[in-house]
Amino acid sequence: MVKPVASIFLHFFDMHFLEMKAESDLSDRIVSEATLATRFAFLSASALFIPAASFFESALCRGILSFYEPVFGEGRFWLLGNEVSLVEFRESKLFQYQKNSTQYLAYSKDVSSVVPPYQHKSAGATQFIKENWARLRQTSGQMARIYQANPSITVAKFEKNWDLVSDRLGQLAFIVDHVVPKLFGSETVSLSAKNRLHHIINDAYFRSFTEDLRASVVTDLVYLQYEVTGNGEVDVPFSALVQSCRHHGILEEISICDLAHLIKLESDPRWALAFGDAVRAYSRKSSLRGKTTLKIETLRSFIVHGRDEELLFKLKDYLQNTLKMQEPVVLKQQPNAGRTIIEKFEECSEEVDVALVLLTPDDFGGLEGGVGESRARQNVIYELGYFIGKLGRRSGRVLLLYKGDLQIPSDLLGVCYIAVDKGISAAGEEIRKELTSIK
Amino acid sequence: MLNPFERRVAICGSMSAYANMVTLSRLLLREGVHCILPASEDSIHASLSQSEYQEFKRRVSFSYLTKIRDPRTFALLAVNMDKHGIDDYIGANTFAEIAVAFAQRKRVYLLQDIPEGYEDELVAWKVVALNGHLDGLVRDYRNSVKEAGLQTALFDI
Repeated sequence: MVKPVASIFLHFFDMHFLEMKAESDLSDRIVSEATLATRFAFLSASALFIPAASFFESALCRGILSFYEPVFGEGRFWLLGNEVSLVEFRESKLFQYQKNSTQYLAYSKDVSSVVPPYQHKSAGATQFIKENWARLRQTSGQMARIYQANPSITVAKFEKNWDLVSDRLGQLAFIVDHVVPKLFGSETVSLSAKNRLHHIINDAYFRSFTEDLRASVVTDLVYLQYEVTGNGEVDVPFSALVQSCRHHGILEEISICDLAHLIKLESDPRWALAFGDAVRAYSRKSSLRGKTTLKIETLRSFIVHGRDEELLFKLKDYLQNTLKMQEPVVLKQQPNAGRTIIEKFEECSEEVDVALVLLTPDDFGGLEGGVGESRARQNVIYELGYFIGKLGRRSGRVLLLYKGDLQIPSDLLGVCYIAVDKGISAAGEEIRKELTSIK
Repeated sequence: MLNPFERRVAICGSMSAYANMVTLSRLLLREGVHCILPASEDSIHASLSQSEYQEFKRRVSFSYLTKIRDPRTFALLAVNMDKHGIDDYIGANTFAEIAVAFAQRKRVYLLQDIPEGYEDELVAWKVVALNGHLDGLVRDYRNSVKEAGLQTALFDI
């Protein structure tokens, strides 16, 4: 069965991340969120990756994954570590911890019968974090934000400390509690500075996995929320999925069913619909925040057109087959379903992200007594105006593709004009560029 | 007559910052500042239909707005951690809570700085940016308790 996502890195099982999030008052919320997030990940992806350390050290991780024990042998779940085998990984950990520590006990216990298969991870996470730390010194934005949140020493001292952190840590783990005293010369810093440091370090740590594996992540969590993006085709947006699964009536089923039923749900059309809706809703939400560009494949487009059927066909073909966008909405190809034209137009344009308006010289007209000009059909102008009002003139979401010598609405500053006299393919790169820059 | 020592600070913010809110309430209590927190609502509620879930959300929001408006609430502290790549993020719910507190003439503090998106409104409403340091809030709270205590004593004579 083809899954919408190839692989997912389950970042939220990481121990340091959980420590940061897991205030005692929240434990039940975190368990239920992590349980459902893992179920969504299982339904979405062919393979799920978990840091081996999380599996051994986190009871939450082991507890949630025990549900999937029957499919551990099927290559759906993988543990990741830097050593070449699981035996070596566990042995290396035994050297790192005191004999009476809980971690030592976790690694020394015989749990071989219920452990997912192990995979060697080539890139070292600590090295990745150190490189990222050094890079931030050059770009300075994030570094400045940390300083601003805790300006307890001079800027010069702070910068000098920043450069020395990696060396000063030596064999110590590159975690916030160890970094703070090396960076500020004090154990106590503001909560904001601490949180920004957590962000930098966790971000690099998670990216060391997602980039290595080209994996997606479960994003948009609530109590486990974190700014993390995957490196796969599409991430799995938790909150949006909760909402769309509720809408499609399968949220409770997914939340409480047994493993056999969960496997059946993988091919349930309601799940496919819920997943598609959630990804689109999340993309739109992200774009409204103005920080990310929408992935071109997720854009829902509407083509406004006149009488030039050939141009319409070529544009539709280009969007669908070259740019791999979803099938564009073309009004006349939609069922009437007893609706008036205007009702049909309004409903079909409801969830559209971008409108491509084909202005072709279909009519001829002008002022009475004046010289006539070629112009687009009046319904095209009406629909153009409608989309400018709906999507915003300066949003870059209304693309005006014009052909031939025709009267063009001239006061639409902010709307993107592209000439298609030489055909859609010739203007293709310009169209693609505009679509990929949509936020 | 309100007991001045029942004065409290209502903490609000995104549920993703809930762990931070709990930490802050403990830090403030150590300084003698009493706090209330929103309920850590279940983010899933799998058995609820869409309309039941909306109703539940409405009830939760309304209940906390009532607590913010309560005369015992001295101030609102919005925990505006960075989120979605936006510094000092304030979401729609938190902004609404700030507006309610402002309309009730409560003091409003932001844990971090004032976010760019709402700068005009928040500056006009005299919202205080703590930039990660709670001292200002603690000092104002203590002064307000002292003042209220004096007024009570005067009234009781």
